[in-house]
Amino acid sequence: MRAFGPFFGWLSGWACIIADLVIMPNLAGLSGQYLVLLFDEKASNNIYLTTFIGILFIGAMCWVCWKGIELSARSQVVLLGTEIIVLTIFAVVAFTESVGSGTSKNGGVLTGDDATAAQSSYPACSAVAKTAQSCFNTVQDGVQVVYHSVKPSLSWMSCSGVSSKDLLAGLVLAVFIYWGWDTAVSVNEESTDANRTPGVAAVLSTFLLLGIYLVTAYGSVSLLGPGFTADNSADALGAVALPTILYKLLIIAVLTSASASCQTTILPATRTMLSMGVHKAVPDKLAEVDAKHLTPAFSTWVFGFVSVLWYLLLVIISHNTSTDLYSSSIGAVGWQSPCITGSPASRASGTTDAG
Amino acid sequence: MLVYTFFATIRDNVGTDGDHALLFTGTGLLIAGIPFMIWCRLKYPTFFTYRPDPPDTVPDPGGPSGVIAAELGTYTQGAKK
Repeated sequence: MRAFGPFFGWLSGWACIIADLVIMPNLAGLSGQYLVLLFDEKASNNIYLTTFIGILFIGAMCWVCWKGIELSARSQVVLLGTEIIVLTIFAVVAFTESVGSGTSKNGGVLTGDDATAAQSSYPACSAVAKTAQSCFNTVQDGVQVVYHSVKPSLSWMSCSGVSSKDLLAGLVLAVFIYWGWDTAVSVNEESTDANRTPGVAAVLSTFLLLGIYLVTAYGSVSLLGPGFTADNSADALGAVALPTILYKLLIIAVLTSASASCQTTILPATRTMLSMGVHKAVPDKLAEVDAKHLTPAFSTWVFGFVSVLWYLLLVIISHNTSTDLYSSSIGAVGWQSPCITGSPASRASGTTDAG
Repeated sequence: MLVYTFFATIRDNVGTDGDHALLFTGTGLLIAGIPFMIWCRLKYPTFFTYRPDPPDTVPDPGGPSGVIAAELGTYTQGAKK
């Protein structure tokens, strides 16, 4: 507001809140799906079960955010720590496995939607010579993917030959991956040494994210090749090429990542609502701070409640009509990302200048 | 670049396969803020009377009270150029 004026400032705050709201069902749904997947692969396709668990996740994360910023920070340490440890193990295994690059390896058996996706994405092995191309064999329980590891190369970093459309897609993806890693600057006024800690945290978290992305992306691509990695989800990737224990750990990594993102979506959204309420740009009830926990209680629960309503609306429409609004919401966030990234002042200035 | 990305994704998604669900959730919810902003403008007029801070009145965030911040692009850590 103080930099761009009240109208653009107000809309910047709105864009941040809406983008946070739109992504919530995907993060909660992912948490629900991967929690079920941890115990029962078939049940993970039960939309009612995963939606119910997803709503519980939203409630639980709202409770953590309402309970206090210190509990939020500690839970982030646990969730992110788990994710980083598992991904490090995954990267070591992936690079080790890919040492024998260029050879065909019989992967695990995919079932359900993953098997259908593999059959539509790859040719049957009988139809291809054993070239460096993933293919599948039909087996009794599903399809067995035959994959080809490739040697890691620095040339993968080159943009040469990439179309402008792919570059744009990569740019939006980069913004999407960064989702939640800027939360430290959203809670700057609640941080120890507020003049220094949030800024240092923002820079360190950016480098940490870059490291995680590079190591896991190189590990995945070198293990299974670029085609399979691009076309399949993390659980399919784990099911094809990893030992069962590591496959389960990979599911836990996705689960903790989605849960952590769920939390780091609630925190900035509610701080933006708090800021707009403090400046009387929206009803000042949104600026109400819990006297005991020192968190924006009303904003937190309102955001959680609206998120659940939005989640149910997406699921109902997507499940009962031909419009896949649920999947579209992921694209919508990528779409909105340039808006919220283009207005960093409202995201980064916490309760002082946002709105 | 980000503005270009925004409009390029609109063109790609609407022009090729007419995905109106994406149009609704992506742009519709952003535009939905405009009537809400107008309502807030009527309900809370004071906020909308603020103007951006003139550059020559922005206080130095690290300096003593009353000191104006250095001109953009001239600030160095610990001392001003």
